Amino acid sequence: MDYEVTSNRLNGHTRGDIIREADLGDLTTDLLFLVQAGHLSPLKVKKSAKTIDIDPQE
Amino acid sequence: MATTTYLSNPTLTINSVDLQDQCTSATINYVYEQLETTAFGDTARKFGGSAVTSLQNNSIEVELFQSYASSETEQTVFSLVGVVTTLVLKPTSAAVSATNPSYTLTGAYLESHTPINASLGELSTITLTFAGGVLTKATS
Repeated sequence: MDYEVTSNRLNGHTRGDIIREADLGDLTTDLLFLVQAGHLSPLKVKKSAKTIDIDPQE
Repeated sequence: MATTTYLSNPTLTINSVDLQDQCTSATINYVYEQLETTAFGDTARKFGGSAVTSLQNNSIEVELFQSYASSETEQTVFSLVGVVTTLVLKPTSAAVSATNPSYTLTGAYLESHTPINASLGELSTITLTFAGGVLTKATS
């Protein structure tokens, strides 16, 4: 899952960066704490809109 | 000539969060527990030895200004009580080197926190003690 950095306190990253858990190395206990504290926000995967097949008119 | 160190710009990260600008004091206690190895025939007490490895008993104590604003001290620290985390301290914000070593305490436990510790007319501060964990020193 990707996360958006939402504070300027995350070591080595700036607000707006898109990072993954691995980008924080092994210095982070639990990403949940960083999300709760407002340093990270999980990025939700957007589902693509359903497409409608339109039969060509005869 | 003797050299002295005036720590004015050390860096502190707790759980990857940079809290340098909230920190006013930091102490690393690097400890190997003392095990007595005195035996018959010795004329003085002995401790440790090349074949004796004792447990590390490290701790880090930091004093921080309290702040309840978004992404500041309280929000960062509150969730860490009762769990283990990692702290990194450096004497200055410059790159890690032999003269600016980085100290990492991995697996340190935060037992307690004082969310409100305030007096009228004074800035609110909190003192945190992270105990246990393995301390490593990096010079590059």
